[in-house]
Amino acid sequence: MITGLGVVSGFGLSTEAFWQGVSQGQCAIKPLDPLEGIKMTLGARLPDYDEKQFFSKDDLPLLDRFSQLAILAATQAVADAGLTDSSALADAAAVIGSGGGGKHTDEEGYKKLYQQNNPRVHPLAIPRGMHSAVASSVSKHLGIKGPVFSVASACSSGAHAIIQGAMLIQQGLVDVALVGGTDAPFPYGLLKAWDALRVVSADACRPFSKDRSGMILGEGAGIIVLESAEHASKRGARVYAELAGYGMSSDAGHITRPDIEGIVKAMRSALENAGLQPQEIEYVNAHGTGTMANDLTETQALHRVFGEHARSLAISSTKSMHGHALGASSALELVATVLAMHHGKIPPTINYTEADEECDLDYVPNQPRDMSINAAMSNSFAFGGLNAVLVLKKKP
Amino acid sequence: MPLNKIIDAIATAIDCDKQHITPATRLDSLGIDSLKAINILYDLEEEFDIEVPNEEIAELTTVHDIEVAIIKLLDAK
Repeated sequence: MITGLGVVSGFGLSTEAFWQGVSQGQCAIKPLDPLEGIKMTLGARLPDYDEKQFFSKDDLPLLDRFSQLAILAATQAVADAGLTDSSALADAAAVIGSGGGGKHTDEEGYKKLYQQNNPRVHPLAIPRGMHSAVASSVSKHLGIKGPVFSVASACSSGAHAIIQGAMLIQQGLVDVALVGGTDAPFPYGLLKAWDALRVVSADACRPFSKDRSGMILGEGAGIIVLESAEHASKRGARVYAELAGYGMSSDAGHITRPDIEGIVKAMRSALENAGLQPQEIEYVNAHGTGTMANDLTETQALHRVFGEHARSLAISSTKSMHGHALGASSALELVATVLAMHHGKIPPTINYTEADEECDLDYVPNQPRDMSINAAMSNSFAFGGLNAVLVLKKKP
Repeated sequence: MPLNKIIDAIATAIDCDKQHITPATRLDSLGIDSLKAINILYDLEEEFDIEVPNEEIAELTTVHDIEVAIIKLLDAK
């Protein structure tokens, strides 16, 4: 059961700000401060974020930005779930995904070393920058003492982490798991690397629109409280929705080009795992990056998995609004999906200007839609061909 | 003088009043563990552009020990 949600994103430092934004079709993608040598001009960065407002002088040296964001989201999620009993958290799990890890820390160290020819690297560079620093930090800040680790699968990291947490609960190892993802991909060197990949749009993220021109980076973190049905019921927790199933697959193919077989396999596995027929799904929160290749392949895969029912699906890409927050994306999108079910309102795909004859489904263009949703799917397909799909059912 | 800078670095790192720190003060009496100690040494290495050898770090138990080590490294420059 999903009993708590926490988000920090380009919309601000709260789940409410995130939901207000995506449910009203607003855009958190803004012009970036210009940087010499960087082509990228747009991104969804946290507005007016000052780390010193949230973390003490003692904590900050150990917290890369990606860890800070996860802690902020996790703290919200725990409060939202009403998990005030510290013993519940002491036995809980935390599984946090990140595509990049502590890139700000790496960048600061390398800048000194290679650019400023300073031979000294900060002694905390390793514990601050390591991929699992976020899991340790969330654990420390919230007193979570059960199974705690990080998961990395690029843009599917959040979804893979969510699945790992669900499996820990299903195995009976824990009653509560904090799961989700985080990424802070705006250090200079990383922007340069994204420029080099030539997948970033210069003007807007327009998923499934004929004139789509690529993705736009975002930063943020999404953390979800998963709880066994028994534990949630025993403590009278408010249940948003049920994580009913999941599917995972690998393309074992091209490092960046999505593969329809892999995507279809992950979606079918998720439906089977949830015990649902394709026609029971009403809303799909698409991976929908806004690249030519993803949106076409995802549409073809939706046709293959859902058959005629594909045309009845409401499909949207919230990345058009919160940007592609890499390892955080799946978690942000799961939160968007959960709240869409909770409020009966589907966030739109914004910036949609022109129908593409090859992307021929209902992408909920530009305007949110009021619609009761009983079952939904959230897709994540990462570079490297790592696919993870989540299926939600309305609370029982 | 290195001593003033050492005391400044320690006081800043652990947020304490400089008056409490003298050459004889033991680092452990200020609650400075090994991780905090290498952070303070890093700040001092930056300040003086020196590098304290690993084998000497374990011997630095008082403020005075740090001062002696730094003066030795500065003299050798």
